Amino acid sequence: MWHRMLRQCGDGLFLYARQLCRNDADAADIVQEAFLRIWRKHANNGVTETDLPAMCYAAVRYTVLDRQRQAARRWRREAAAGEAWYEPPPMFVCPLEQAEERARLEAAICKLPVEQREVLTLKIWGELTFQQIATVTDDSPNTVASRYRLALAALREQLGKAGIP
Amino acid sequence: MSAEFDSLEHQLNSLRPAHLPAATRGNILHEMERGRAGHRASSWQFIHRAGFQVALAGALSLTLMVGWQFVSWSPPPGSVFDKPSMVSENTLLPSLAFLEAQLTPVAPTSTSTAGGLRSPTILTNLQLRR
Repeated sequence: MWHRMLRQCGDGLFLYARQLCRNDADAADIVQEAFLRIWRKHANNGVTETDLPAMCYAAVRYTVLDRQRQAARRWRREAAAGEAWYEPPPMFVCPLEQAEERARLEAAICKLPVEQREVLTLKIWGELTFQQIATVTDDSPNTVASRYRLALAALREQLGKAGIP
Repeated sequence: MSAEFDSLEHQLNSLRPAHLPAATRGNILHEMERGRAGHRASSWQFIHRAGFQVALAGALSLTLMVGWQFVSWSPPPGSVFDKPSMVSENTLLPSLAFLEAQLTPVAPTSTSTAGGLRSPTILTNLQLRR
């Protein structure tokens, strides 16, 4: 079950961590730490496979916030310095003929406010329900659904400006 | 409006997230395997602990002692207990009859002593020991 879970959710967890911390190396570490934390906690207590994805995403979020709290100053300094020269690798993989479209979508997603981007990531690539997303982000399901609609509207606007139908 | 959202969602769905680095995936699997192996090793180490071995030896000794006492309470073959008359008189109380027969030559018992020995409490204890 755990191997299957890692295969199914590993990429989504990595994307979510990248959205939150904007640093690939840290994101990979965070996914590892969060997944193993959930595994150690629930490996022997009969947790169901349907509950696991939301728990893993919540653990990633918690780990990111925990690290940010621990080293807030260092984090901000590195992030500011890093963003100046570091160009992150693409967040999505796609065939070469769709590379241009991918780049536009990715740029539009990156411009979204972090709350909307978070909900969009959990909904589309994490395949969670609004209820599950609400437990991950500690918000109400209505707030989450509203953020999702706003994110889609903002994306549509940006893509419309960029000339994508 | 809804159709617009649907087409956009479809576009977004067509994007697949970049893969989790193979090294990280490998690390996670390795840690999980190591955790499982560690769990097995810890139970195996527990068996080899001195405290566990002393407890096991104590339990075995106790079992042997209890077993030995149980065997020593069994009537020896050819004893007075084997006599048909004794069996017929004390069918329900064979151990008491055997005890009486053993005690009589050493310390002659009065009727009251024998009666005491036949009291329900003692009988129960003797029966329990049997």
